[in-house]
Amino acid sequence: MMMNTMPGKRSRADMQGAFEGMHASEDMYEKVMARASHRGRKRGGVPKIAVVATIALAVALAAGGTAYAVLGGDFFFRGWGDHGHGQVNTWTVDGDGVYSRTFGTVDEGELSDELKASVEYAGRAVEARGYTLLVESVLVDDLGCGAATFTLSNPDGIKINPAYGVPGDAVFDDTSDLRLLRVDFGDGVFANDVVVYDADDSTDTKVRGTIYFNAWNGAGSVASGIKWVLTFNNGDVATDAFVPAKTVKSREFKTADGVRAMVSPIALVIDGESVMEAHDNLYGVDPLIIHNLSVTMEDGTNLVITDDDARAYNIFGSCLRGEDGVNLQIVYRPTQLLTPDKIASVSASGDLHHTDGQNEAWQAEFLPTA
Amino acid sequence: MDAEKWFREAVERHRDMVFRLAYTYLRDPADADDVTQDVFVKLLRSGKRFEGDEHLRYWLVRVTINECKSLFRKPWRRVEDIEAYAETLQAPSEQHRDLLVRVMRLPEKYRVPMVLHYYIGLSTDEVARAIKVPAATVRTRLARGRARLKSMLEGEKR
Repeated sequence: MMMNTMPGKRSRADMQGAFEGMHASEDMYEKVMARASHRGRKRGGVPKIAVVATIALAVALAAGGTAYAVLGGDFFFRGWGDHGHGQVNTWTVDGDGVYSRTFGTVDEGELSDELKASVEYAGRAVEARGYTLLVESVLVDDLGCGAATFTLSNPDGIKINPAYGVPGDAVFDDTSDLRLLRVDFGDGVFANDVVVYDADDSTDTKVRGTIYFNAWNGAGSVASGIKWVLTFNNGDVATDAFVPAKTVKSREFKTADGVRAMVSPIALVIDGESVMEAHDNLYGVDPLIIHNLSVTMEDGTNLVITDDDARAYNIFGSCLRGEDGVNLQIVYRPTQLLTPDKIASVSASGDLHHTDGQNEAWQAEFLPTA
Repeated sequence: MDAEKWFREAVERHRDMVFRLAYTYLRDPADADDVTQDVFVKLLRSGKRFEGDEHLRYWLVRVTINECKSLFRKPWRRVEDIEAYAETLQAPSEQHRDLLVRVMRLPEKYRVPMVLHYYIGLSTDEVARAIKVPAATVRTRLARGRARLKSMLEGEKR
């Protein structure tokens, strides 16, 4: 049979045939119900989830408040150093060129006492199917973003596949019964998260690393409690919720036409709502795509966060959060720990998407409002 | 029809389409499975009323695209071995399997419009709205995508 590549019915038939053998899981309905139920949402029925075994860590929790000193001060070095993978990591995407992620560096002298004191000991743990997850320290900001260090162990082995994800990301192998380490919130709102493992501190049976996350609805979801979840092929187990008592504050920046950006030490958020207020007739689902984003420090140094042209993505993931046209925000979690008070400006360029389908080039400089 | 029965039928009827579209974006069956679950959880929670199956289908396409783009706005994940995955599928013929592999090898800007148009059956205007580019751009990408497929085919014959 000769495949047709010209337009018309034949192409449609060929394409239908090409996909014919590809199927979603037969138990998709059960999976969806389990996922929906487990996240504390509506609907009755019995979710098919595994029994949750939580471990109380009363002794460790007693250390609580003065977390940074108790933890030996390695939280920031673990979270915003090179994770043992080297400073710059590169990878190739399907013949599309070489991409890179540069990890940050941590200067202890630059860490303010306020920032250090904002680290809390979570001490949340869960045990299931041979795995033990201990979530150690947590830092959250007022933008609904956070990071937590963890140790995951299993005497029978943990299968991370280094070929998956960006170098340094902890993505489990297809043969692993454990599929994801992820975050949930007490209010059931979705999280966006990325897990990076520490190469020097991890073995075949123990993985140490940091999970970076943000809530789809912002700080309210984080305040409702953070749960760390092990998702297996056929169910989830989760830690008890941890409700942060401390929050790192962000600093506001604005463009001349009123577009807002908020910067905390661990996140940079562009406010889509203010983009739509500043420009007419933008497409509400995705009004702005940013191609380049950087911050300039007061001493003149420039820190690239993303640069599409150079294929540089110095972030622990990014996402568009909020509903269509409502409370839209573009969230970045930079690999470099930021000092918002020392940032002179934030620069961004990209495309505005109009309702008529046209794109408009956009360039902006955000300056601090206070 | 009660809501639960309607939802179950919606999942059964559209799960393959959602999964296939998610795979087109992500080219990783585990990720596509994950997105498919999230799309149907959103449907479950949306409480939306649909005017008919086509309306539901278009809504699912749009949410799937948004899920894929929001979760993986950047090429964070390396592509799984497309050939190895295709080998596991029960395609009608070897040529269909090859076509799937070739389409999946195309850059996203070509393969997504091609799948939306030729597999899902959206018009070029609908594809334009779904992926938020002008309709003329969609038509250009379809033409270039077809040309690339053709040159791949000819390259393999040589």
